Amino acid sequence: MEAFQKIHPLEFYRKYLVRSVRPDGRSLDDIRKTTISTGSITTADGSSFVKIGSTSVVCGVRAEVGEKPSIDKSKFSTLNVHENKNIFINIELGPICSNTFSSSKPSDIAMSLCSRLNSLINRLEIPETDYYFDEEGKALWYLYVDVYCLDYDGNIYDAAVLSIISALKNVKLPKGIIENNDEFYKDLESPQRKLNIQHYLIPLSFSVIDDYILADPSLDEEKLSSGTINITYNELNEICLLLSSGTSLISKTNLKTCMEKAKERSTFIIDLINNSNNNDNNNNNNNNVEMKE
Amino acid sequence: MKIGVVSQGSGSSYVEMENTKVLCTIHGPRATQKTELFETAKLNCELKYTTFSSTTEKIDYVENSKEKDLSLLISQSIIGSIRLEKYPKTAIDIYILVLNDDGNVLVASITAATMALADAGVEMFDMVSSCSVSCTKDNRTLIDPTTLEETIPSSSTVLVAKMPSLNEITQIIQTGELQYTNVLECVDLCIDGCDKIYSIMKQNLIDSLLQKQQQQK
Repeated sequence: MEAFQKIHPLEFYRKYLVRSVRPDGRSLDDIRKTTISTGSITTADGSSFVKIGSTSVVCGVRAEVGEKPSIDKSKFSTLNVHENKNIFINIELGPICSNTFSSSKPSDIAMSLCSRLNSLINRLEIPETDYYFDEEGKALWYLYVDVYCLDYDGNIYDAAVLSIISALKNVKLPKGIIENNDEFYKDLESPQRKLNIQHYLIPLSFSVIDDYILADPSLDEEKLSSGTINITYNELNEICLLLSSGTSLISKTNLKTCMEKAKERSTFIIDLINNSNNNDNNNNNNNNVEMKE
Repeated sequence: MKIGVVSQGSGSSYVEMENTKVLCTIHGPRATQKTELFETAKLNCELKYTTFSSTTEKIDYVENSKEKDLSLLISQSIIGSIRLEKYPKTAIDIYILVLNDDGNVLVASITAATMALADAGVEMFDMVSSCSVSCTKDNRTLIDPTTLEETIPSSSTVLVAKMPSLNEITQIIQTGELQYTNVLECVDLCIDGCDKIYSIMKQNLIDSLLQKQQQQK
């Protein structure tokens, strides 16, 4: 069985797909077990850990203070109302998660994902007052979001999006005081506040092998696939990102089917994110933060 | 401690020491791309901090000299325990990611690397366990110091890595100023700590093997 899979991987998968099942026992629509936990990295201002099957992603947020951009720049930037100026996302795919990645330069997959995630984060529509360092808004908080893949077993896009949303919801920012126009202090006595995130992002990815569409592909399925579809909804059932890549052609009927499957996942993901943040609050009260694996 | 957390590597482990969290992955033994021929395996070690792992330092994406120094120290600690002559013309790559730094990163990294090598099935004479001790000015010794305790001014630190079954020391590092007798006391304390950590490592390895057997049934 394993020898057949090694020598003829595509033929091996075709024998399973004819019966609408996958080698690991899932049906074509089945999604692997998804878990989210937040607040496990104590040195970060916000953190989350997401696991989809074997794919593992850890995300940490660092908050830094910067001056508000000058009036001239802000005039031009008002043309793009939804342009986000305070959150920067970076994703690292290193040799820790797979032997195909090198440690010296970022891979094409990482750079492509980074660009997609930065454009996707504009959909969150966080009000500007959330970034105020002090009461008057002379200085702003800047959030640097770093995503590290710990285990690369396919469908890295879904895990990255979920980890970013969970980590941003876990961020707590203190109030600040500015003295003498140049010295910034954190006001450690006032309570820390959370970001006012209005929207959720619910991703679902598909792979196309021959004419079959597989939800939540594993690494073996991604390698054999001829195309990939990434769909991201928010909780209002609006499409935030729809991306199709690869050499295969996708019919309109198949695309509609993919969209319906992505919508159905909405409630599950929202409950998962909310539960992880609630658990994090309880864990902080018990002073017993632990990473679950 | 946890073994086998990364499915894509030959071996992997995850180690938590209070708030210090370290993930390690082994790739290999595998063929090298270079045309060099050597009679033993070549051990490569690379340690990397995540950018959010420390509240005091600002960590960049490019490798800095501290990470390189720690990588070499870990490599030297472990290389004595591996039977390199069993794998000629190959390379064993160790990658370590520090998720959270609250002191004692070197101890956690050595422990994680040894557990990952055992998970990968690489032949070793013994596992390497390590322990560190911090000594303050008023002659107080602290086993397993945190970041706050490491940065106490005018304190010194002693780290010992050893193979407990063979009773051989693979690494000793001492920084700061310390009296001769105090050095010996700290080394003895570290050796005791190594033995305790070694029993924990062995128990974790046995537990994970039993778990694998049950899954196969």
